[in-house]
Amino acid sequence: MSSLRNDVRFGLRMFVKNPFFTAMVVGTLAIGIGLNTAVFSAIDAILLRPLPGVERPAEIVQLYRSYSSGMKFGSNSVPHYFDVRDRSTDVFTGAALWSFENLSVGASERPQRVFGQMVSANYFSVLGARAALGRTFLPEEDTGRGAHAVAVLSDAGWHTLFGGDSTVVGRTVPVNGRSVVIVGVTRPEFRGVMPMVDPVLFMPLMQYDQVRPGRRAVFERRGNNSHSIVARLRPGVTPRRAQARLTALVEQLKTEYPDDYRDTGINLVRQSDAGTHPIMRSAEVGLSAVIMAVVAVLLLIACVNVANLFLARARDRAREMAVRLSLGAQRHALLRQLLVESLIFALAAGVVGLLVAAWAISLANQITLPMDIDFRPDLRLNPSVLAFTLLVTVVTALIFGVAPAWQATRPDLVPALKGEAPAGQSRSRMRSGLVVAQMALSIILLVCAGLFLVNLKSATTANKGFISEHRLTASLDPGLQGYTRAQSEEFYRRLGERLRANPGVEAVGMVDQLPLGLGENDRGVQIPGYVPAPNENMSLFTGDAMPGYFDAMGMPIIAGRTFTAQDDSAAVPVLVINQAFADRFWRGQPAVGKIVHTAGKDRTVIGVVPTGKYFRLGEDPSPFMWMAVAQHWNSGLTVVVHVKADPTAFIPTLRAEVRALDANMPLTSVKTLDQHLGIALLPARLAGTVLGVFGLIGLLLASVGVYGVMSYSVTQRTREIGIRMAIGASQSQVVTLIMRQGLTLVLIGVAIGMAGAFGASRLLKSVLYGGQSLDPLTFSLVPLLLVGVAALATWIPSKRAAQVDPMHALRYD
Amino acid sequence: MDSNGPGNGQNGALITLSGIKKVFFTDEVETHALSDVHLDVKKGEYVAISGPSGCGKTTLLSILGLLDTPTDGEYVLDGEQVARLSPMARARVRNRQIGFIFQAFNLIGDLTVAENIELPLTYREMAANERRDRVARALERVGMSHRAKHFPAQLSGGQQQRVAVARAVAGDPAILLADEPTGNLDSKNGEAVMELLSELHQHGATICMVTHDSRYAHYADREVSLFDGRVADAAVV
Repeated sequence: MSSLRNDVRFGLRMFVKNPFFTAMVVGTLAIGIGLNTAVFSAIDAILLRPLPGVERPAEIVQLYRSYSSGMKFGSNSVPHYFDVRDRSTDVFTGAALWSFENLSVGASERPQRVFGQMVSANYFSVLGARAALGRTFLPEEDTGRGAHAVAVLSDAGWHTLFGGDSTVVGRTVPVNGRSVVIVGVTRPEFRGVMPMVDPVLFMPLMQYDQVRPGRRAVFERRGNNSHSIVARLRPGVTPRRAQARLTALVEQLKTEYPDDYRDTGINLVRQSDAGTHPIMRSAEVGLSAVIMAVVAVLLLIACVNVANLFLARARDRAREMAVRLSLGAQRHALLRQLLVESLIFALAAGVVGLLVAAWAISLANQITLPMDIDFRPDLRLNPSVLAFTLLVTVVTALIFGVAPAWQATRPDLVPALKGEAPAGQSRSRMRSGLVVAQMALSIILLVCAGLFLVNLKSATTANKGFISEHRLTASLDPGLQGYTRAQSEEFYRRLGERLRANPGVEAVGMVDQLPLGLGENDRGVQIPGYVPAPNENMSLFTGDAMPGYFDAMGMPIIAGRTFTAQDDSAAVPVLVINQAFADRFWRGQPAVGKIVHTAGKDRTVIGVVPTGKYFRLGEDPSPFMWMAVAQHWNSGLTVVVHVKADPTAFIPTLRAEVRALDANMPLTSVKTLDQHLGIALLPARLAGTVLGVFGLIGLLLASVGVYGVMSYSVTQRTREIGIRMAIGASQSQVVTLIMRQGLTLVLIGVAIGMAGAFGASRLLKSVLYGGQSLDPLTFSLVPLLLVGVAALATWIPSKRAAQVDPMHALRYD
Repeated sequence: MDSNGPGNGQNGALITLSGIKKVFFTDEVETHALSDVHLDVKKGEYVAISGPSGCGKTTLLSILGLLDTPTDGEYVLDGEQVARLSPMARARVRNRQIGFIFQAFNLIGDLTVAENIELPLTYREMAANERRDRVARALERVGMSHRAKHFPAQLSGGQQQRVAVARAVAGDPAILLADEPTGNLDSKNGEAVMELLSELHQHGATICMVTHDSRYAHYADREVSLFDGRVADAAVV
């Protein structure tokens, strides 16, 4: 213990002895440790952190509908939820229903469109979330449709809508045009079951007809799957047992509702495994693993740099080590002493790294999604992240400390005690090994970064099936303002006319949901004469569009026609489909005129458009069908305006036209179609930006590292260089000699790194858009860049060496 | 005594070297630094090893101090065969039986005078109280108590060598090995250090000193001359 205390005391002395050395070590490591901490905090927030503000989160499970077609995480209908809630009480203490809903809240003079949740009244009790003010919903508010005009505010909603007014409980506010009493405010830590998205307001499920009067039969139709179910396991009940109970329940439901439950099941997923949504889990895990691996490589490069510095210092301390050994120190005692020193440096770097992480986290927390949801990544330096930082710090100390300590404690005793420079063959080998390792790691890091930048370019320029330039979009929903269907249809008709009348407007259209906006709707279809294969998925992407939409989006018509004003509710129901739809069911035949049974009616195909991207940029070509809004009513639509000039310049006109029709109509998500694509491009942009920055940092560290090693190596060889010059070597011969030796190591490292990068690129294939993991440009430019930088880092000390005065060099010891 | 034949000190000898050889192997060259060296050193004896540069003095002292191992031959220190000990056992013997005094002092610059003297005792895992007592006694012995908290760079060369002597004697070793202890000192400080060693010897210390300076060889009881790696001559001073 006393020895350890001495080691710590001596280590602290060494830490403050050479401020420049300490700053180099701490700064280099802090970048690596800080970025690792920041990335881990993101992984913690996305994948690991239990639900905040929820009691015993380990008991929480999510329930999804599964289909034999392979779909495992489908949404639930309200009648289905009632059955699950009432018939699985032996395994769940409670099951609650929730869904996101756009709401228009009149908290101030003008109504605001906000992101809320419709929840069963037991939602808060199932999750164990209590109110900070007032109350949450009462059990009796789960019965009696339309009888409970109450709402609970989230902490975020309380602050954004009411400025944190403590008298908010009891206030009456209009929600979608109907008066609702605020009965409570949730605690700040509670953020529902999707913590990255803050709901503003919670409304009881029983008010659904009042909130969405246009959507009938939510309480009756089992096929109306648009809700999520969250449940709490009874104490002692395992997920496996609960799953068995749900499987038995599905068998019962199959006998009671054979049409609704054919080839379906219920899939139970622990909340800890579900995360944001299980369908995104593998992508989240994959991308997290890639980014974590990249920052780990970055930290390794930093460790190699620092190991080099420590190796150089070990040479300077050879005499000290020899003295200690001659006085009887055991080697393990010296190893411990040196590792304690390394740990002190690493801990200081860990502390500075936390500052780096805090800065990176504050940047990450400012990320917003280009859509109307209150997205809060909520990255934090919480205890588990701090524990990770400590672990990384200790491992870092071992990585950069062990090899130099191993070398330092093996001095050639007799020469070292005389202060003679050791022959240093093994040290030289180790330093050479470090240069090779540094180059190899840098190549891997830069290739990964390059592949993600190429990925971003590919994703940006991919054919999406529509044109995003010169398009302005905005969402509105007259239904939320209390408009009837007829009033809404008239509103949209007049808005279209007014917009088209503006100079510079090429086309105007409306659609229920823009493509590539994360949301998707799918609906079962039946094709007369087509017999689906066993387990064939007959549920296809669908949308509702108004006349003019395809023109406004720049989608050419391949066959037939698009919707017209004549395709109204009284006309024959019609569909526009994409090429993939036509190819799947009528390959080689004209699709126009064919019948598709969907949404309760036979609908005739009137037109075909090219296949585009609808949900993800990386998706395979998928069938898509559009129904005419007039024949499949939807009051909430997004307007697309194709203008000749800069679309942002048209925003005031768009707002003015809407205001001219209704001054109180909230207009949301006003953005260009290019900006809207930011949602789909976000993963590629994030990965490209983050890895690009990491790649640059890695390149910088590697350059500094190579420069440091070559510079030190040249210093050690000053005498040799002096002798060479004394016997007639020219400056260029000296430069060539040093550079040849340096670049040989660099090239060996590059070769090893290329092999590693090739392996890494195969692992990345699944997360890259279009699977472009062997981009020739990346694989040729990265080694050229690195060799160029390394050549410069080698040339500078070589040049300096060649300018040495032979007389001075020969005196050098 | 000493000769190139078997030593006569088998009985009562603190150190017995028999047929010690040391060969350094480089890529293509074998260098015979020591050849068939026999040497006895009695307890309480003060032996000076002298000879021209490159004769093997330092190599012999390194083997005596267990800093190096002989290529062949036997080495008995205080009754224990030490020629082929493991590195760990050699370190233990160095720590408990041997005190080194180097030409270049070899104090650790980042430790204070007291910490330098304490260092071998720390490696012995001696209790802190005892370490403190021994450091204080050693400092007193060399007259450096007033400099205990100073760092080596704050001392003169002579003072540094006195601290090095204090470090060597603090652990009560069986033998003190001094490698050109005056080599980095001016004559005045050199004399002072030699007086200090004599004083230690008079109090019972066994000393083996390498020197090429004939002025200092007479401080020893006996002078052993090396030439080309062999004992060339031995004389009582």
